[in-house]
Amino acid sequence: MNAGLPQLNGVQGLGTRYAVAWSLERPVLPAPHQVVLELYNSTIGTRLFRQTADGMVLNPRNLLFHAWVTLSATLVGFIIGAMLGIGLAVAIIHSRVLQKSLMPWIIASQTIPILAVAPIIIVALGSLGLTGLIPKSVISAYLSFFPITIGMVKGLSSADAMQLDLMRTYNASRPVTFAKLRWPAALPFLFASLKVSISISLVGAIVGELPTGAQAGLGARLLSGSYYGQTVQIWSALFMATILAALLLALVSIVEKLTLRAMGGRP
Amino acid sequence: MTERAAFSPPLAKRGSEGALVPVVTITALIVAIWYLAACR
Repeated sequence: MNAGLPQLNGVQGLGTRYAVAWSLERPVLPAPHQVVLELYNSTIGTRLFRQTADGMVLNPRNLLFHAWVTLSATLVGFIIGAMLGIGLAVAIIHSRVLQKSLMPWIIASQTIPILAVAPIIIVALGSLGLTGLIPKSVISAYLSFFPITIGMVKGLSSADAMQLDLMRTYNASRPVTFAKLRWPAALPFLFASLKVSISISLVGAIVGELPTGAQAGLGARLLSGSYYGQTVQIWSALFMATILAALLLALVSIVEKLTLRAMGGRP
Repeated sequence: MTERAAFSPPLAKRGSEGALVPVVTITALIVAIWYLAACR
């Protein structure tokens, strides 16, 4: 992919050509070691804090600062999305009218490309005075609630008909049936959905940083990298996003394992 | 043995010990293709 670059014109010998192609300053496709080196230099190799008039603040030159900005929007968006998703699912399984009326809208909401919706959300919330973390979290929540709603509707309806009948013979109220039967039956579905939605939350937070020309966050790093042709910076931001997603996924998996173990299920 | 443990089915041993070789092989393959693509 770097063969068309002027630096490689007239370079003879396969070894020399490889050496030049893998050490270009602004390659079209950087070599893996260049990305790893940039990742190291922009995290461990750069000071995390810097001294300002207000005291010690996170250094914007450090990639961890940008990762933290994106992570905070991801987590807030994920929590909003999870609560919204679970709330909608609970409403849907208890009311046929809501199921008929809400489900088409929920599905339709995900057919709109997020890149088209993101600027609208940011401008609309900006006019209300909401900037920074909130619009990014809203975009993140908009993407992440969907898998949770779908998974929880399936999960909350997954209780065995015999067990539901048994609850009826006990004259159990709806809240009791929900707490004792439907909710425990839905937990495996919930965690499967949470794993999908936490990754989507991260994507939403990054997409939310793109249309505003944000100063901080992994999306901002991607954007500034593409403005200045710094492909190595773009790739290192992508790697950082991947690392973040893997960590978040691992966190959900640990919580899942602990919860299911506490419930007496198979770990 | 607790009551819960007594009723739990025996846990199947998870085969994570054999996962290292495929993971390393696939990672090496991806890195090799990446290096080749970078000088094409």
